Amino acid sequence: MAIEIGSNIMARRNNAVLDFLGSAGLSYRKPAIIAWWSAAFPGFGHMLLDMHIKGNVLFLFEIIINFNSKLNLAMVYTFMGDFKRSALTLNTQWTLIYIPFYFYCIWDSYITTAKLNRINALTKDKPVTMKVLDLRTYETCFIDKRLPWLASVWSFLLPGLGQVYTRRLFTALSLLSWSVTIYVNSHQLQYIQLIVNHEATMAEAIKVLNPEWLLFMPSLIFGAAYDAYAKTVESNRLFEKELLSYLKFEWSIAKSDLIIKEKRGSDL
Amino acid sequence: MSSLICLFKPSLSIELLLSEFKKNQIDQNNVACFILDAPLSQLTNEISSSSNPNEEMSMADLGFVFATIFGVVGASIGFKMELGPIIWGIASSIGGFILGFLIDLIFTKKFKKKPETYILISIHCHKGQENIVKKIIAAHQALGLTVIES
Repeated sequence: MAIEIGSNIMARRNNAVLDFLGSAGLSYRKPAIIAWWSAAFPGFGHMLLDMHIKGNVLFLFEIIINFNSKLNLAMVYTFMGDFKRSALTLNTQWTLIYIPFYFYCIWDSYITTAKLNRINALTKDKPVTMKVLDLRTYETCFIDKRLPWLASVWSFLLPGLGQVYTRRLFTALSLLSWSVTIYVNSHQLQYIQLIVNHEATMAEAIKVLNPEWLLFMPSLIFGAAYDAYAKTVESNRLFEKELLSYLKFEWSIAKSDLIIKEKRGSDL
Repeated sequence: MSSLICLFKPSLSIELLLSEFKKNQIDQNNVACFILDAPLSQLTNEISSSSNPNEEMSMADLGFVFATIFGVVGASIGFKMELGPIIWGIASSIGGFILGFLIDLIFTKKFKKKPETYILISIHCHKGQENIVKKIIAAHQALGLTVIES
């Protein structure tokens, strides 16, 4: 498909791509919002930018460092007002590793978003030419219109499902495996089960909960729900852009015999 | 000869419609698509990098942020409260989401509906083909249709 306008720039910077792992496209993103998700869960910001390898490495490191420093446990004690116990809980060595790691993630995702926005400003008015279906024997991916709220709801139920729905295979696989890890280790489902079946009182059931793992959950669930929502909106927009580019070049009035102005004069 | 004009939202059914036309001997030369961009989005194109086209996303931005913060704090405090960390965590998350949503609503006011793009298709065909063309258009979620006799 040869497109005359700006073909040189197109060759240097493509603005959308699709393969069997999913689709990616450039679009304007607020740096502060991406930085926020890096702060909530290092790695999430990069996943939102479709930087899946970087994002997953950071995600893994976040869990290892956070778990060993007992940061979440210390947070629980802090919010409970027990500052002494909080200080005693923290592992100093791991906490000192955590600090530069944490702020680097936030800074890096912020600066990357700002730079990608500038590239987006260069490419956003170019027509979108991309593969719309990648059919393989082991996986099939196509671009389509999907419902953002539905993706969000699936990720609320189990982080990762909304990503399967919007076909972000990398994010889906990593979020699903982390969800299982965090759900099982936090014992929150066991806690709910004990209370619902009246096998324990609320005060007793608390003992099965693991606060260190439990505190990963809000960031994981809301991060996943946001990712599912925002990325479905983005891929819907990409679908529209691609369709409009196609119609503009293949089915425009210039390609047909129809002439709006002169037809009437000659026919009458 | 007669001309038909119909209006669509951008979706896959447009491509299905166009391929259906080809199957029914309506030549591509007699079909033209016009893209009707919303007037607002044409305006904002001029201000390139600073404008934010992602208005749909802004609607939920702050809600998700506040829900996470409130969820973490609520679950932590819940450990020494009567109803336990899960209920407090969920309740404060919902509270946080609503709060963030309201702040967005009041201060950023980005809730105006995103301008939509429509596609206008005009088809020129023989009188005899008019009925089949109408049927095809009706089967593909057209928003509107008009026939111009000439």
